[in-house]
Amino acid sequence: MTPSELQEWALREISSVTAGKSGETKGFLETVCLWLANWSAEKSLRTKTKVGYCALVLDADLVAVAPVGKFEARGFFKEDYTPNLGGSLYITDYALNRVHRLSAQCSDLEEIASLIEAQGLSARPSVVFDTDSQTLFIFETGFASKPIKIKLPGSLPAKFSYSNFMQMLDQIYKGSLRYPETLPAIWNDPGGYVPGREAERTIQGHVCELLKYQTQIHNYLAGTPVVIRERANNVGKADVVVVVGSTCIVAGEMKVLRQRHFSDQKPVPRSVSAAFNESWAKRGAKQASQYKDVEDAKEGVLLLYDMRNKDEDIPSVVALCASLKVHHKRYYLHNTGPNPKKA
Amino acid sequence: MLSPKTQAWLIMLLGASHKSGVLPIPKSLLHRIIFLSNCLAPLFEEIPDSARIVKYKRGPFYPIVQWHLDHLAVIGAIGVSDVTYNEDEFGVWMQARYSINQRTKQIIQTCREINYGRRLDDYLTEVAFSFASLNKRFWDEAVLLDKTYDAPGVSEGAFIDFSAQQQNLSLQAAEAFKTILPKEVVPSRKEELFLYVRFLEELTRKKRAA
Repeated sequence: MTPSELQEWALREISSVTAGKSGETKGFLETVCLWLANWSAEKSLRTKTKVGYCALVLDADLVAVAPVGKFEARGFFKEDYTPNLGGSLYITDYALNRVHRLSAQCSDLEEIASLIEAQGLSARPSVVFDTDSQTLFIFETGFASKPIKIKLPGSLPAKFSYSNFMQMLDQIYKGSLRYPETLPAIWNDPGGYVPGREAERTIQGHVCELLKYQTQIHNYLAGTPVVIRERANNVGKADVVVVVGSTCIVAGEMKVLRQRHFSDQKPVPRSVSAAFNESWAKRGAKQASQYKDVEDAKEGVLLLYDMRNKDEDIPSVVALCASLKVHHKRYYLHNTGPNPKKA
Repeated sequence: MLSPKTQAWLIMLLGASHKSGVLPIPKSLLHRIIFLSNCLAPLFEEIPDSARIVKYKRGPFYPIVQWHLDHLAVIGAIGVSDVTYNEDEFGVWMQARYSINQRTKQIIQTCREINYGRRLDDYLTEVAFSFASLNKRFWDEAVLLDKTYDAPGVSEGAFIDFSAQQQNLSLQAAEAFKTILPKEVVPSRKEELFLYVRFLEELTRKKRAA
């Protein structure tokens, strides 16, 4: 291999290494998502695939022994992106090496959930996949948990760009941050506008984790984006940086605007002044600009996660972002669930 | 003869191999993974348990480790099955498959109660999973192309000592990925480990195609 070929190969491979620890649930879920993304890429080259909802359920102990009942061993599941994936139930270890299949014709989420429950596996971490719409439902702690829903692209996009990054962030916001009923738990007392103990860190971790899922599974032809959280550089630590090959696409700074401080002691914790929120957001704008420069990023962005009682921009922050040539994006985190009348 | 560290190493490696779906593992394949885990241990700041090996006609093989495996199997700490004695072009050879049982899991759980046990288990889990991520068709051959084991001038019967890091070519190759990747991408030690093991798979694929 020439050095450039080797670099290309290494970049391709590094993006398929799971960020979560191997042998743990997060690592398993990432492995499955990556496999399904590759399956999806193969599908685009096929004319016929079996349609239906399939599920990949983690149970390393169960697959360590020979299959029982109607289950059958699939010796080359990992290597073969089978066209007959749809509709069936697959039990697997953490690395998709030992896989047992229960052939079925499940055509929706309810049917596959019933099938899993009938096998006594509903508490296991699972990924359900609709081979037709190519939608993923990730159940981290079994079917009692709220799933993370991700849609794979029908056709392969060529190149990752800033607009893709923002689309992914919008999707993450709508899917899991907008209302307090959804995960992660960022509120201590939503009714009183009291955030959780480490709301900023929790949001950052959650967003970066989902970004990693999303960027890895989209199969960008012009190089897989690598999401880096808390990237240390000469001016500090950039909250999120996305690079493709040697190009930094975006460097972002995340800040949380609060109505109140966290406290598990006081019934009504101290409130946060508007002036403090403004200076906090302005600091974020300056950091985003510095990170954009030092990382030589194509775009810089200030991401504000707003936990105040008013859903409105701070004009001076918007103006500062414009003058520093960084994007300004504010996501309002509601303190109550969705209200159809208000919508 | 008894070495708790070696035994813990083997038990944890088998536990991780169970999670990654490689068990029951044939004896020769297990010795290959053990060799790999020793070579790459400094990447995770671990001290190799067996840093000396003689290049053997059947691939990496540690007689002392085999003694420990037999011992662990006899006391019921690990499972053993399909024990056969065969004769091939290299002579008589015992083949077996190793697996884990309930007691293995209890031992791993106990080992993880101390910091060193957790660290070692985390490292061995990553090694087992990096190996398990390879295409099954290359499992047997990939480690034979390891940079330390297959170094130029190291012929059959040669004594390989990689206890000093400057002699550990596998470690050097894994760390070299830092310089190959663009400066914006700084690989974690897990990524270096996976890249190196997958690089061995790539070499095997190319060798087969040639």
